[in-house]
Amino acid sequence: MEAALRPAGRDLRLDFFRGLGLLFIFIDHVPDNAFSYLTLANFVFCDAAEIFVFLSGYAAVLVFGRQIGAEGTFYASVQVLKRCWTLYVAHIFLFVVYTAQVSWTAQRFENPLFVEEMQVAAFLQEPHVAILQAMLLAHQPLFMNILPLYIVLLAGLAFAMPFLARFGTALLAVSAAAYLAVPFVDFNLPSYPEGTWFFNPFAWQFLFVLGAACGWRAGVQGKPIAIPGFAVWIAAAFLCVVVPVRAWISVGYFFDGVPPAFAELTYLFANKTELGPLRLLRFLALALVVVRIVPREAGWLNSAAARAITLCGQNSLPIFCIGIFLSVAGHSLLVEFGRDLATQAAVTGGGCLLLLGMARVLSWSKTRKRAGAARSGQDA
Amino acid sequence: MRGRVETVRRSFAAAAVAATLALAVPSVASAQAQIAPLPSEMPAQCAVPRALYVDDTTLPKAAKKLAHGKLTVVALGSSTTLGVGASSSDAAWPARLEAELRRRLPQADIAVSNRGKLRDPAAAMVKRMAADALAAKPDLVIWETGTAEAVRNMSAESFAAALEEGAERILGAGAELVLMTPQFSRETARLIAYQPYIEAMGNLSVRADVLIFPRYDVMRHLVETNQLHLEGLSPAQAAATADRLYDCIARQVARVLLRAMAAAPR
Repeated sequence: MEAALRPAGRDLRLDFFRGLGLLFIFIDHVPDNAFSYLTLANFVFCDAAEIFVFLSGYAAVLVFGRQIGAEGTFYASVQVLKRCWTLYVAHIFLFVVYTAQVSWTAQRFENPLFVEEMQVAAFLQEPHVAILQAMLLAHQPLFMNILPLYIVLLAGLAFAMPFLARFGTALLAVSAAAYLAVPFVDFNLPSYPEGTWFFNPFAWQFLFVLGAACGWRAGVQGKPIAIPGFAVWIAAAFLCVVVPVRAWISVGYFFDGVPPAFAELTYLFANKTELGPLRLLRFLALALVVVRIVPREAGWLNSAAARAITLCGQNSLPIFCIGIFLSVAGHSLLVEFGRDLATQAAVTGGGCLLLLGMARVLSWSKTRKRAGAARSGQDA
Repeated sequence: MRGRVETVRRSFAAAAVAATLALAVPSVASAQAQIAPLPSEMPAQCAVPRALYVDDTTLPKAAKKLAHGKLTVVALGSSTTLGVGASSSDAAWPARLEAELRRRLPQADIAVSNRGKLRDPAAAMVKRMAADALAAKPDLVIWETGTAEAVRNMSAESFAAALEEGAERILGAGAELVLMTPQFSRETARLIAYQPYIEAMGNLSVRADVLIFPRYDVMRHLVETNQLHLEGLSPAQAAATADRLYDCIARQVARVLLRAMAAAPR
């Protein structure tokens, strides 16, 4: 078990925080859920999406970057593309689930009062276009906007593989330049039936690349970026200002006290689609402080509770998909059976327990498979 | 696009045919599918607790105009302001609101005009606002919005920006503003994420001191207390439900407006 948890000295913090981010994604996606106020989004102006994208970049380079040295660039690129394919299939699966839900409702709920609302089923009238658009990742209904981003980012990584070792710094510079250019050129991928991607990949790639750069230094080159003490202090001071302000804004009643111009400014720079600079800075500050507060060998990371969350991070794709599925189911439960605090707690708690349980089963199955493979190897 | 227009036309036609049938041949309609009585004779079925209206923003300008015996209201919105699904345009909530305000304030000269447009997103409403709503020099604009954005999963940030701009224009024109949130049904709430858009309206409401009419919460309360049934209706029942719901919304809006005007500092 221990060996499975810590493959080749893997940084457990990576999986723990990715797991935590996945739980937050589930909780935040259940509307009318008071517990979502307890997640990151309401305190720091950045949320689980940032954690997920940054740590995914980090983890991807950790796993696939090491393969460059061991097996060669081409092999590593192929592995990344295989991972893309898995994600793509997961996305199409979620689309099928969503389509089933919409068509079921459209069949049974014909109320002219909701003509406008039932436009949500408009895509069923042109399935030939809708399916094609879903396959092209342009159709991103409801919460189906994170996976397309992740797929595009990973595909980009596959093609960047040959340049990572020699031109890493140049890649980072190009990535930063693209991020900085986005607000000015207003460039984004189109989505179906109209509009653009919810997560602009040209902006969000920077966070993924930053994560990848950290992963490359720490995991592949084995010399993590040294963080000077003063940077951590600046980050901490920054958070000390940001957290109360964001919490203050979240508690709408006190909003009156925030000067409108100031509130407008913060929203302007905390734009989620383009990964507004405030979001980026806040995430980086949070990351710096957390990395300092939680050392790699922190004892509590091995506690039962932390390990359960870590397992979620180690099975991120299935846990993400099940989480999206559960948040839709959880919302249905709240819609059907009222939304008093007890029901909300039951739905949130129950969903989290299911995710943790599922992660445990998946890890158990992986360990068994490995043990089985080792045993049959010995037999032969 | 043509396909969508066609659907709406078809549902309109279905509703219209159903309503006509029910009106013309009441004997044919089964006991369940009876046409609703005129709104004034309707059973209450519109009980909403006061606690649902948490926003205590007041409407001093409108109160002052009303004290002088005149109130001009413009209802700016999408399909449900226009009155889709109702038996006639007189059954849409703006017309019912006018009737209700006149009933409760018989001395005053009150007009509520309907500027609803099918499936209009907030940004489009901001564009037509000057000619469509503000030209009438209203004292009060009730802006029903957010549905088109939520349905199409559009950016909540662009929605917030459009709201901001619209509010600026309306307040700049000297009118007071009331925001109305989208509709609720169990079916649609499962498929559409309304939260970010309702939140954006709430944010603006607190920030710019704009009154909010929480239609989403009102309808949710009606559904949860079994006062409103939206599922499994025959076309005739659906039309009757629409009339009854629009009337209820109008009465609740009147209640909120009157309270906000009464509470205004003089």
